[in-house]
Amino acid sequence: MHVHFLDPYRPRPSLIHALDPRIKLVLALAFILAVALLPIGAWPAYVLLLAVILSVVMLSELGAGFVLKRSALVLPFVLAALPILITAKGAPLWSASLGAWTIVISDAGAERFLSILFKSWLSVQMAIVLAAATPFPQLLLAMRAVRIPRLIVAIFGLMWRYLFVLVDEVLRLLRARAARSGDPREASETGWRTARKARVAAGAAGRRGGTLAWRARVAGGMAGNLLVRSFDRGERIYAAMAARGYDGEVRAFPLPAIPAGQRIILGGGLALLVLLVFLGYLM
Amino acid sequence: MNNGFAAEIEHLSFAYGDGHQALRDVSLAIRPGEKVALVGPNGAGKSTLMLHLNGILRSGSGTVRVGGLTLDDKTVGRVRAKVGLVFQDPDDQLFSPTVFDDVAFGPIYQGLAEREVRARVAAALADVHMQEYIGRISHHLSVGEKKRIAIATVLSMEPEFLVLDEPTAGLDPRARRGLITLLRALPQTMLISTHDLRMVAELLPRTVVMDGGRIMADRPTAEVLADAALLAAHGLEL
Amino acid sequence: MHYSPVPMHIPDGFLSVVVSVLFWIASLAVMAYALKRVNQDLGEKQVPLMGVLAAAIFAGQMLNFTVAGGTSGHLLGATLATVLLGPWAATLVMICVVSVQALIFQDGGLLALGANIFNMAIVGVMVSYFAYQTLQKLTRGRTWGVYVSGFGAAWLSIFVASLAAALELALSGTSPANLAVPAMAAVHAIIGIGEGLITVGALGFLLGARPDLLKRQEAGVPAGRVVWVVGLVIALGLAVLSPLASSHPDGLEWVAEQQGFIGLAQGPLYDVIPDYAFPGISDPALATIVAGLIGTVLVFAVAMGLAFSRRRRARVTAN
Repeated sequence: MHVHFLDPYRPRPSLIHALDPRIKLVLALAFILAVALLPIGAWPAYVLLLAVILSVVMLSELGAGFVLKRSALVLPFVLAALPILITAKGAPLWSASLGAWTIVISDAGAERFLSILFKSWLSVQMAIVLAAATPFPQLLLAMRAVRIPRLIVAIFGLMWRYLFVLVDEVLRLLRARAARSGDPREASETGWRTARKARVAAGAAGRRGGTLAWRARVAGGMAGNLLVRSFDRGERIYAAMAARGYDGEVRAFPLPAIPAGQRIILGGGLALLVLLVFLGYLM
Repeated sequence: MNNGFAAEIEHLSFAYGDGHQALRDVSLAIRPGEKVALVGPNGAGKSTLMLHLNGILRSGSGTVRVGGLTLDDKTVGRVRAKVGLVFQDPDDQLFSPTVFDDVAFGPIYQGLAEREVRARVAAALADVHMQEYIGRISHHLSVGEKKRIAIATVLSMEPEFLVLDEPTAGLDPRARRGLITLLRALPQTMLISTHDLRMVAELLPRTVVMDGGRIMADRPTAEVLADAALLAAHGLEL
Repeated sequence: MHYSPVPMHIPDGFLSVVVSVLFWIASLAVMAYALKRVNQDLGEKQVPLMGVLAAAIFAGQMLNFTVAGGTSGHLLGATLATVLLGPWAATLVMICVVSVQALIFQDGGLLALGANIFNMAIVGVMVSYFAYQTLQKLTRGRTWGVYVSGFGAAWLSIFVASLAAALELALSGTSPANLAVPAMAAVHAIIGIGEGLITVGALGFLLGARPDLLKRQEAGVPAGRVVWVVGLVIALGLAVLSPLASSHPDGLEWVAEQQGFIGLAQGPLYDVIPDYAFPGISDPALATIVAGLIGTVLVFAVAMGLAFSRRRRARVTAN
């Protein structure tokens, strides 16, 4: 029933977890911006930023394995940058012939590609720590603090709250579909009724599993079902909100002040990042 | 003109947009402190009636008065503060990220200051014996826990009149027992729509039977439950 | 684990700062206007309705169907959102979906979020709206017209959004335009078919179960004229730009000009400190090694500090 795997937050008694979410959000974004501002090939700066993020990961007590595993997410997109190896102009570094074609990787291309890869990896690690070390309700507070409109923050809040309910509904729909698409060969396990239905469906569509169009229609029907139920739920939630006095305006308590000690961390963090960007350009 | 009733409904009729006549000339009066059951088959109009009590649905024909206040466009806000409506599906009622946010919602929209809001939240959670849940995330709770928090979300508004739609539906025996004990302890006037006639027998001295949009009977619970013909006629079973 | 519907969420590091910032500004501007319009149109119900529908679109992206062998098609949902909510509310809903994907699941970067929002939430929605309205008019509101319009709008929205992504990558110098554009276009022309099919399936269900939900938006056509025009302009613009970009012999040349623009700003600084790669150290390789040493010391220090504080914590709880 509880779809916890969707929630990246991992509670830990760490310094990072204890930081005010506003500080965390600003520093995380500043870090990612700093990484983006660094020029290609600024390896000393890249290495120092790696040291920074590794320290943060350690301080967060999330475990390097946890962060590394999730950071593998950027890998597929690397394909988009692969051509740079070949098309960037520079001294040839490595070449190979594939039949009629010769592939030449230039040094500028290699440096560019590796820089992109490294920067991407640094950025995603910081994003992972931010999400895993900050409970979502606190992230909402941080969003309000960086002046994201209250209406959007309210929609985010509701979206988060019902994400799990709706994903649960989707999983149930998927499981129901799986139960009904029993393979006729497995009649003994799934039961003869399931097998018969599957055979009938396959017969009607001319192929086991139905045609692509039929499968898409089934999936689409589930999507439509989900959307209709969501409209109705939205109406019921509005009724519940109205019953408790909701008048359309988004209201919340003013945010508490940030403790002085944390302000120092914010200032120090930003100063360090500025310094590292500056250093990167000195090359 | 306050006759001392907690709620009065006079000749209320209502049809939905698609033409379905959900209420036919319904009249009902409830005194302060009374605990009343609303029973009847699905589609009898019970939920529709409840939604009229706090103005979510409004009808052109008939009057609704809560605590002496006649419900109209100007009084809707005040009426909603007096009536705590607890919906059937707690997932519809717990729409905020944390328990605190949900229980604080009502008081915040009543315009109370932060300190007062926090006090109300603490008191409401204490009433449902769930103080430790204050920082929890709503979707992590079990159905029974959610139902209790849902009650807290209306208690924090300090209503005079509690209206509950199927409070014991979907609860296991232990959670059900806990909820009945809780409802017994709450002092507010109550109108509870339910299929759970054993709870009605235990908790609610007066029973109103609805069917087809009309009130078929409005008598002491013991009488209603002893009337086998009445029960059978409206699909009720103990 | 989270399912990524389409390979369009650009991570951080792949877009230049200039491109990222430009698209952030564009997206924020559109979002501000969308907020104003939705406030007018939906009123009090806007928060609950859009919140739940955003959750539904997100959850709906997990609905897959087998295309062939091991691959499956997924739903992005921009078209369905547009058909059900109208362009402005759909934009906000998709902004929420794309943002939560980036923030919580790292599906797309945070700096790149502006561009991702632009591609999926803005281009996706506007092109859907334009295509759906046009096709509906052409088929004169016949039942099968809804299916054709839905399919066409869904396919086009995915296709055009991918072109926008490809151009952003090219402008950033990450991918040469003459490879990125055709590659993205080809892949998404196929993915778009999946989106089209599933959209048609959903519309079929809606026509049967709740035709009133589909009718809701048809009343809003006059107000949507601006969106219609914008959608048309975007689709046409990208359709024209893309072949232009791909025909460029060296996609990086026009990027180099952009870099030169930045290089100009870097120039004076470099002249002042010509031989230093690191204060006091002139060899870049050596500089990297020194940086590595400093970094290692830092990390080590943090590790020691952590171990120390943990031991102290354990001792305190033991007493």
